[in-house]
Amino acid sequence: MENQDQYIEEKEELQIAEATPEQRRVFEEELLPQIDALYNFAFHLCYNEEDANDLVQETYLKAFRFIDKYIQGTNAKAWLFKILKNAFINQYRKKSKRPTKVDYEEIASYHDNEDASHVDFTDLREELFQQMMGDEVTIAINALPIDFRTVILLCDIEGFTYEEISKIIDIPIGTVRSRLHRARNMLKERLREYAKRLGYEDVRGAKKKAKEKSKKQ
Amino acid sequence: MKAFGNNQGSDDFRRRMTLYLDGALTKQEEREFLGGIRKSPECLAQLQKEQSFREFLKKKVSRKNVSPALVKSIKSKLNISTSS
Repeated sequence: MENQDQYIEEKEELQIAEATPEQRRVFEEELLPQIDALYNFAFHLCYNEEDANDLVQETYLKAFRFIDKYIQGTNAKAWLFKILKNAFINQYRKKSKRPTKVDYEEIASYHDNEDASHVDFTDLREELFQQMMGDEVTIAINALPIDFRTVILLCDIEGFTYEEISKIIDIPIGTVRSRLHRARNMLKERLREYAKRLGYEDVRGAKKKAKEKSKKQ
Repeated sequence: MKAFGNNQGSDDFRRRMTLYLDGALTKQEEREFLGGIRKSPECLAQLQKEQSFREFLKKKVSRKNVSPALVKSIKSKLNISTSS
């Protein structure tokens, strides 16, 4: 086994040495500029800088090894994110026995999920949100289950399209949408709970509910 | 063009609002959506609030700086000059 690992390492080094000057140029000009976004994604997946560093480094080593598969001028960012996501899953599976799939969601239909619930951001005062520190938001995002955290990061923070996210995490577009819907609702709920813990209660939300109740009666 | 049944709480409105904010509507669908929104102040208010949530997330989520040591380490492993 040790010999096999050594062989793989030697082979990797050999492949790195064989990269053409053009491939090196592409690596530096198209792939390396994505390092900030990759690192941030890695950090939010791993929770710590050391693991994020390792993950980003592994991503770039893999990218360089398979650079002949990358088509110049195409979506370098999405390509690298896919490599990083796969590397993370491999590491994550090694470290944890927890499943990485949201099984119930794969079974439920998109429309059932999307339309079933909607957490209204407006239940909270806008000014309260503006007062929140980044740490609180980051903690709330990091507290989401990994599959939900991933789609929020890819869509709302990195600005990937549904199609790109679908390719990066290998799920159908409909599932991307339903997962995003649930993830945003969960996040809003967590932020609302956080605000409540700080003693903020939305009077407008309560008034609205009371009004709706009296209408029904 | 129906204005989401004049209901900012309707599933159709929410679905289209999400697609609009995620940039997943076609130009034509976008025009129709915005046309419908103009007929409903409640829908417009809902859209603005959802927009502010998205902006809030982007603005508040912490972004870490990549250490120069990481870039150096990657380049070193790939035998790429670290002069740049």
